[in-house]
Amino acid sequence: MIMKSARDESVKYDYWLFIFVVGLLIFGSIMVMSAGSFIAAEKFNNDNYFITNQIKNASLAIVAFIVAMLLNYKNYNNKLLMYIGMGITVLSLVYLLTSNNGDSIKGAKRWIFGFQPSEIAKNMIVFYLAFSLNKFRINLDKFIKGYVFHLAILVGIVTLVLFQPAFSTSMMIFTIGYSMLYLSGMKLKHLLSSMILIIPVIIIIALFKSYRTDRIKTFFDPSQDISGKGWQVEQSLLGFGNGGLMGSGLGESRQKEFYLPEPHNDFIFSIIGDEFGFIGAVLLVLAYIVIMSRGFIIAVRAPDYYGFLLASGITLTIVIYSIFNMCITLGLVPPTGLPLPLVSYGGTSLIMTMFGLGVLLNISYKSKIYGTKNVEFKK
Amino acid sequence: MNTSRIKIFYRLSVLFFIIIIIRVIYLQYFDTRLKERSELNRVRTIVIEPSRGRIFDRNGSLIIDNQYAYNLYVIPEQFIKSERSINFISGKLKIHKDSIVSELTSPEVYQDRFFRLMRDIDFSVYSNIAEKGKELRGVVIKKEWTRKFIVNTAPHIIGYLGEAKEREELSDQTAYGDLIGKEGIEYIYDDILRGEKGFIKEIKDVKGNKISDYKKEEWKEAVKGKDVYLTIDLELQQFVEKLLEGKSGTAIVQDSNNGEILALASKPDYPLDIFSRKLSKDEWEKWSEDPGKPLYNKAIMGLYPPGSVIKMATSLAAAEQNIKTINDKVNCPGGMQIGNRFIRCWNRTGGHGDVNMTLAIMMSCDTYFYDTALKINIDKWKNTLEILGFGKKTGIDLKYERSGLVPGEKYYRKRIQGDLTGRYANLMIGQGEILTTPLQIANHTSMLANGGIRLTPHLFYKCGEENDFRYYKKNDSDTVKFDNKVLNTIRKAMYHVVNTAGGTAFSAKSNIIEFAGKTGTAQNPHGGDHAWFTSYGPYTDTEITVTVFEEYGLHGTAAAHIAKDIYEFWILNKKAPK
Repeated sequence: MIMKSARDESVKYDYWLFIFVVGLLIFGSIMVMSAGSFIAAEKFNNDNYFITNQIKNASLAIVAFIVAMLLNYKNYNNKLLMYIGMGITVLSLVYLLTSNNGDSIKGAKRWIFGFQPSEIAKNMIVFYLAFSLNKFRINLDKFIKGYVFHLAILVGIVTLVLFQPAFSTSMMIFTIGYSMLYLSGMKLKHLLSSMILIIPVIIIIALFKSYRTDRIKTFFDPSQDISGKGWQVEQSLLGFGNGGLMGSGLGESRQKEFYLPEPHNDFIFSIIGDEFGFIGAVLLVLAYIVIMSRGFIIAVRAPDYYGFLLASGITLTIVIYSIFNMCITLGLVPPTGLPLPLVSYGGTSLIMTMFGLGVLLNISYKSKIYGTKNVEFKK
Repeated sequence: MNTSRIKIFYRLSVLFFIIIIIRVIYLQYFDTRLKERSELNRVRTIVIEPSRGRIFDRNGSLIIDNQYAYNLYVIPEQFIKSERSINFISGKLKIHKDSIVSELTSPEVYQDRFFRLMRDIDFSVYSNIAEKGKELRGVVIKKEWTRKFIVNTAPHIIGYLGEAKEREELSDQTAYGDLIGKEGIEYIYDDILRGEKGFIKEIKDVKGNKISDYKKEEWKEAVKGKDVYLTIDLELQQFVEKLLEGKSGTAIVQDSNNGEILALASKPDYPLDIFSRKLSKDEWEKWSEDPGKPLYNKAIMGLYPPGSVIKMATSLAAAEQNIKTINDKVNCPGGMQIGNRFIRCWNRTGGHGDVNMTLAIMMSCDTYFYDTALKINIDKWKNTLEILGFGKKTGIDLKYERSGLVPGEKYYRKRIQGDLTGRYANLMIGQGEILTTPLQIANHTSMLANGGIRLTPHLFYKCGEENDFRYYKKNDSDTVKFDNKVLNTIRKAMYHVVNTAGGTAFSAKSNIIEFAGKTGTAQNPHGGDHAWFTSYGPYTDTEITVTVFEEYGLHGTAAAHIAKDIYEFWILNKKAPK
């Protein structure tokens, strides 16, 4: 139903996507207000600390969203722009890497001028790979010139982010980038061959840092450490348990009263499950499915190969982040700090996500105007 | 090709979202335990301690009461995290910070419940903490019941309370650190005295601050413990304790007809209240290593050879085995040749001449019993002694009672080859390997006095409140059939011991009460002999049994004089039966 109507309407933008994106943004802000008020009151002596910031960020995000909608996405397919953007990203990552100097205890410094370079890197890699894969699409079948060349770019950025240190974000970037290599049409045997090498490396990195292995250990036995790492997951599950079928009502979750760390951020899904119950949680999942469907449809219908890569990269970013975040709050994977796209409290990540979605909408607009070339992307 | 690859992503993602939905359904709909746990997560149970039952004597005189004390509690999860609280409290209590933390983090301690860190804190500490008030996170002072000692008496009977720390002491009614009876009556009747805990529940935030009450209908009020009345007569008990003051030994006054213990003193003893404080290591060593063994209840834990007080039992055994009738006579020249040894009677010089059973007991002639040893079947003798309660626990309601030892043939055969008659001769007069507790001696004397009714000595009289008393439940008492003629002869002989010139305790004869008894001297390889005297009185219509054991008392007559004082005090202060 959703798929059909978007095609039939005279509106040029994919309005289903638009409605769901804006809807989730508003819903997210309400949840941030509800979930964060206790912590805000305690930490900043101001109930509205988080929501005030969130509204500021959301406003900026909407500006970025609208600008991206209006700008022709083909503008990003520009050698100079991409090299400069990539250069700034790499430089800021390297700058943080050297300035942290290993004296970080819990979460190192991850901000520069109010931005998180690792968050920017996450979006930059999508744009850059779309640009590069499009530019060198003649070579994509070749192992060295196609596969290894792009893999090297990806691994380089991932490594820089990894040593920020931002393990989870680096793994997300790798997953998104690798998926784009796959979607670009590279040979399967190339893609699979180096996986044999990459997977053990990821496992070793995961086990290397003790605080990370702690988290993984407590994942397997949460009761081991009730007030430590396992506590978060336990409390998150209790939030869902308390919500039941109908939920305890907006603002009624008790889990946010310091039981859950970051209830307005990484664990906001648990608060949603608590306050809106099973129905609210499932509706949220369905909203992400709609966004994903629209995103992939836009990608498939994109006017050109570059648009296809860009649209699928942006969609993948949102899909992979939302799946991982939800799995964490449901105790299905070890806890690590990942926001829930559009809903969680956040600055850089929210603005970047909304910018990406704006680009996605622009691609949908262009495909209405130029018509879709569909499928025939083979070099 | 590209669309097929993107379809794979699409399906994979949908699959993941479906897994998420299934997980949500499971958590929110099917996992009912989760819902309960999420409530309990925020509910704190506050236990209300019941007041403990008081302890009275048989006449209703108060021995142990309750009073308020200031106890210092902490909520571990809050307290440990607050540097300021923990530093302040460890400084005031003069306990090292680390030892507090290690106690609080032990697995038995609930992190979100009040935990009693210190009982009965000094007023200066109390006012210091009260001044700081809410600045000290997780610290609360509660006014609670504690024991108050009205009279300092019978520490071995009353016992004391201590904190439950061992795994086996914990139950749903007893949490780690609770006061429970550790010794004596406080231990044995802990269930009656303790009462039942109550609790209230309240909702707290994660920092432990109360938000509101929780399910008031489920709250439970504390049920206060029942008062316990002992069979002890407080005045008599205190009198007996005074008589033994400065001596080492024990005295037992028992109701000869139902086994109630009217007084039981063991000296030296310790002040009743010492264990209610935290005892320093030095203090503890002082009490536990004192050579007079003040912590030790000699009446039930002391094992001594009975000496001549066993002669009634031996006479009974001899008559049962038809070795000696009441009239059989033995000539005592001051000893007897057994095997290649001449064993002396205590009267070494002239001997006792011809003695029958009555005279043998009255004058405590050893030779008469050596003669018995020549013919006795030692296992049957052992059997008679066991019927009289030797070699096993009497079953008194106290901890640590010991059973003593009555050796039989098997016992010796394992250890010694050759002729045992010499050993047996010694046994007949209560020397050698036989070991008894003073309470066994008293209890067997009651049996002789009441004509063979087997009694269980006990300290529990009744419990409860006016109009709703529960009394001691007697076991079905069985009566042992002794030959009445023999029994009467023995009783008569015991009468002569005290009341006829020539009896070993004639010097202790009383002008106001006739009592019958038997002296004894237990050889002590470590020093002066121990003195025994066991008796019952009045001689007709017997009511009480008095047994006195004095370490290093040298001769039984010393003990007999103590018994005489007890009888006279008892008859003069005897209350009309209620």
